[in-house]
Amino acid sequence: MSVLALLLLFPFFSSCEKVLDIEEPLERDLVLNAVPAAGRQAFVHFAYTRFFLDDNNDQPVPGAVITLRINDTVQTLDSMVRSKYFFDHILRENDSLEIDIQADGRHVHARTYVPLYPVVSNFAAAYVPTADFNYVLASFDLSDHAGRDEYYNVVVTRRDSGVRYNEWLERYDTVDTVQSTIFFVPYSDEITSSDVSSYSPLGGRIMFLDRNIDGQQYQVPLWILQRVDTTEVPPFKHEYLVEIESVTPARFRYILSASSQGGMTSFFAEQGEVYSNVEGALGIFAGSAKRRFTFDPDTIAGIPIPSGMTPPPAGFQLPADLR
Amino acid sequence: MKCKLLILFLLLPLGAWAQTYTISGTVTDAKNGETLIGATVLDTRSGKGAVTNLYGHYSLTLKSDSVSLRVTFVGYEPQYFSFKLNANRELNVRLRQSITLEEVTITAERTGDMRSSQMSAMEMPVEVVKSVPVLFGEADIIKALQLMPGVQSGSEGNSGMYVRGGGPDENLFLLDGVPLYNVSHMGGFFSAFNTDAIKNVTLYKGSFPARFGGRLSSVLDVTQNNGNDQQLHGNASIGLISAKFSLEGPIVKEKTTFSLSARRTYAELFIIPAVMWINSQTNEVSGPDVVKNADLGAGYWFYDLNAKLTHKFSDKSRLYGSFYMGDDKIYGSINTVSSLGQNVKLGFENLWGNMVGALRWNYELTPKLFLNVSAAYTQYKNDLIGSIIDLTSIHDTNSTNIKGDYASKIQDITLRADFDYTPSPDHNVKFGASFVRHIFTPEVARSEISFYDPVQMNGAYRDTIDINNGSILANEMTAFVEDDWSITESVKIDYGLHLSGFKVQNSFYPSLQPRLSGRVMLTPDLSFKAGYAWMRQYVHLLSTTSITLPTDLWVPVTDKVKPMESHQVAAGLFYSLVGIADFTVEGYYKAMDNLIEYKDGATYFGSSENWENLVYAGRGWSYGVELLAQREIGKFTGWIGYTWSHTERLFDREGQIINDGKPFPAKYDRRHDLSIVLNYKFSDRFDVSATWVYSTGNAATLAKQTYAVASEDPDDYDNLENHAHTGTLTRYEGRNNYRMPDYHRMDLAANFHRQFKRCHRTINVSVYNVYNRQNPYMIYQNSQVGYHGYPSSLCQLSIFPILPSVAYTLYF
Repeated sequence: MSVLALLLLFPFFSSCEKVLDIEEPLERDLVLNAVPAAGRQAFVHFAYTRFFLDDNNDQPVPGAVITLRINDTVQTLDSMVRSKYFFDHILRENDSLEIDIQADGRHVHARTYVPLYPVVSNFAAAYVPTADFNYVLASFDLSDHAGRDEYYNVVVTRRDSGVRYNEWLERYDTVDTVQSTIFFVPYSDEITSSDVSSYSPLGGRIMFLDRNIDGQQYQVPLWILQRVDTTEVPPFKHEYLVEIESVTPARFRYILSASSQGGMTSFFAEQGEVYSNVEGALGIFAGSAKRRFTFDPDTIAGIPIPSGMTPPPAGFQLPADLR
Repeated sequence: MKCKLLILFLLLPLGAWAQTYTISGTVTDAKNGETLIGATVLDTRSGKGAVTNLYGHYSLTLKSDSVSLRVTFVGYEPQYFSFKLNANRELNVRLRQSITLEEVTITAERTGDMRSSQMSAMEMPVEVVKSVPVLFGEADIIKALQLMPGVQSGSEGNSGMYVRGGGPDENLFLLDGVPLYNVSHMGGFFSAFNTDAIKNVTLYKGSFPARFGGRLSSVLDVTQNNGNDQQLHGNASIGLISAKFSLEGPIVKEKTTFSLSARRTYAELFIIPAVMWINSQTNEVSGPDVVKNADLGAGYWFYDLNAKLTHKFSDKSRLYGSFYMGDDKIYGSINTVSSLGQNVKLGFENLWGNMVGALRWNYELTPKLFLNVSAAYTQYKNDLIGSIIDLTSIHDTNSTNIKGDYASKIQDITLRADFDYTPSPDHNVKFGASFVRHIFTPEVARSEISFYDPVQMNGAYRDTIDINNGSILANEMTAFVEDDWSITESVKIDYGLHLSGFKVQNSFYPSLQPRLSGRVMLTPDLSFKAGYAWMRQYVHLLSTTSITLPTDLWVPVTDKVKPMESHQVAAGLFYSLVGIADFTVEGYYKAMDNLIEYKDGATYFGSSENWENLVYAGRGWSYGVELLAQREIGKFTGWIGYTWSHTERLFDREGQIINDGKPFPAKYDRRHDLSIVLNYKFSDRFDVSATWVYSTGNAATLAKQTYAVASEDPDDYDNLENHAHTGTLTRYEGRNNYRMPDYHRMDLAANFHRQFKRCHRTINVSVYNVYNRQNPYMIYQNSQVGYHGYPSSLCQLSIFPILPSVAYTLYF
């Protein structure tokens, strides 16, 4: 009877897979990616788009001639390493940049500048045991440049290394995660209530304008939620990295749109167009100035909240998507 | 001034006439007393006539004279009456079913046929629904309607309806006049309408009569059986995955009747042995990466229950009580015992369904004025429960229990009064009003976590988090008036107004929607029709898939999200080649406004919170041509339907831009849609049917190119997959830029009938997808299979190969 039932059942729930014929695009788009960052060597990444079935990340554009003007200095390059073109210039705040590219019979052009560094002080982190869960509380003071429109991008990532036991799969894994985004919660209305702010807990990112805090000394407190889904075998190393980046408006728009595409949590979400400020190509040419802070929660475990760090307000609730 | 003219226009039919008398009554089936909807009562001397309404009632006012009445209905032998009309007269007619249908001259005027002023509408006899070959041998109204022009199915096997470019939430499904919010069973493979409980099915695709409102694209008006008023009758049916049972009869002969139908699936019978087999396999497998000793449990069922009670107080007064209840449940669990002795139990269950109850009273106030009042309640609910129980953990002292419960519900309470007023044979006026109290509860969620942890938590821990966005209350008021006016013998119009208002939150949305439909008889066999309808919709269905899921949520318009609107014009020619076939060609154009689409990257899955911020509003349009050739009489019946259409969306409002502000094809845009349905009756004991469908493939968004995310670190470009800052982006080539492969399929069915002394039986054998076409259900990138030297490929998933089925039905 069971065999008969299985035979009857089989066709109803069986699925058939079939590989579809698909045409490759006859002409690939060009992509210019460059984030001129204060304190770093100027470089651009210039390549073709990749056919989506291909797994080769390197899609160089042979014969491309790239001319970069930084302030009054002009430099032209036609050689690259894995689609990257390096220029002899260490970038500084307020540098003005303009790029022209001749490649594949097409002309690509873009311009940008390097923004001022964010003025960050009093960075601190504390281990905060609570009745419910354990948190790491990171906090920093932000002094922006009064009267200017500042655009900020704050990213929190974690580097894990060591061995941990996966209880579900019942096995030991060696972990060396270069960086992974982590959950964090900003419990501050001033920045998250802005209509142009973006808070992506799953992407470990918060973006905001300074319009609500312009000219003030402002503390940005973040709760970093520790995930406990595995058992870590000592010695296991965690390192948290908080990056506070001052960006140009174009990079701000770019990150917003790229986050919306890359942050899709559902198979069913519709893909969106990612912002580009490049004429004749996809990608972005937009400046950045970044401060980085790292800390190891093991070394701050049990440390009480330092003076000056604001504890979570009474009645503070986690966002619905994190509950 | 305009208003006065409008009132004058609407009151035209109420004017005085010469000395007249009214003949009124009910037309019923002589055998079982079922009221006949759409039967014609015609005075052959004057050429004036009337058509029975939803309750079989008619009213015909004629001059005082000798009258010669002919009462007809498709499939029934006509009856004739001649008498001198010198007073109002009540005439109840019982028609006998015709044995030789092909010889009957069809003079009845049915909704949407050549003579009716109504266009873009069709009636689908239940017998036709039952004759069409279907999936798993389960006759289905919606799947039969999907074979008609202008009506498209969603994905493979789905009972969603896409009418003239409208979405699945733009259809109003009425069961005995009460809306059903979710008409899908088993994820859309079956509809909620049990054909054994159904008497009449009418679909309106456009030119909507003023009495209907609240949806943009279609109205499906389904009427349940009243019940046999003479004898106890019934049927029992057993099919591949479900069994059905129906019983109807008199409680008090010719006074009180009942009708009861029930359907229940038994898919568990197939699932249980499959689960046992899986369990036996997993128990034999061992190894560090495989779950050992898995104890899997799973099941699925749905049921429908239709009931109706009818009581006739007198020939003028009738009371109807109707009830429908249908639930689906899918559940699963897995118990595992790990190598370390852990017991882990995972479980989920999802229960969803509709419940509808209605009480209706008909009364003939005067021979010309017929009243119908009703009170109704409808509910759709969904409850999803998931749990993880770690019974004993590694340290033997810890235990964890996590449970989540997510529920949503929509409820309507409706009061309605309708009047049919027939002042003269040239006018059939309908007017009425209704009030609906909507109660939306889009999200009630609770999660519980409890565990014992002596090390970190110093004991037991328990926490409960409740999310309750509360109920949203809304009031909807409607009033309507319409008149089906025979201006001359050849010109007839149905004109009316539908007034509605929707109060929600701090907003009130009023609307006055004109409706007009008319026909001109160009020759006795050829008519031209045209129509216009303005429709407005106050509810949205939040869904991100092209298939119907129980988690799809109905939400009302809000202060921010405005009501959807449509303006539709249609025109067409209707030709009847008497005794052979009817031919129809219709063209339509529909403009839609305030449509909603998810913005880029947004999706809705399980949380209604802030849904208004996830959607943009825009507009759309659909236009097309529909051809239908249909033969309804004789041994050889069937139809060929073809639709050519374009459906597009445009979201270009400031701050609400999708697809760069350019038009894009709607998800259900299809250029060609062809259906061929053929039935041949060899004898009373044997008939066969065949269908073949073809349609352009569904639209989907597919990005064929990707590129790296920009970074200030040059090393990131070499390490795209393993860095928080980098990764790949897709080159956006436009929403719904890709077409899946075309869809086509052939189904066959054969019915074997046999008459016994006290009953007869039918054996239905059908084969779905006869030539085993692998039609696309969904597409995805498959990294396991290469393509022309590339490491991955684009694959399609097909779900239904060739599927034979058999069903046995006994009628008694």
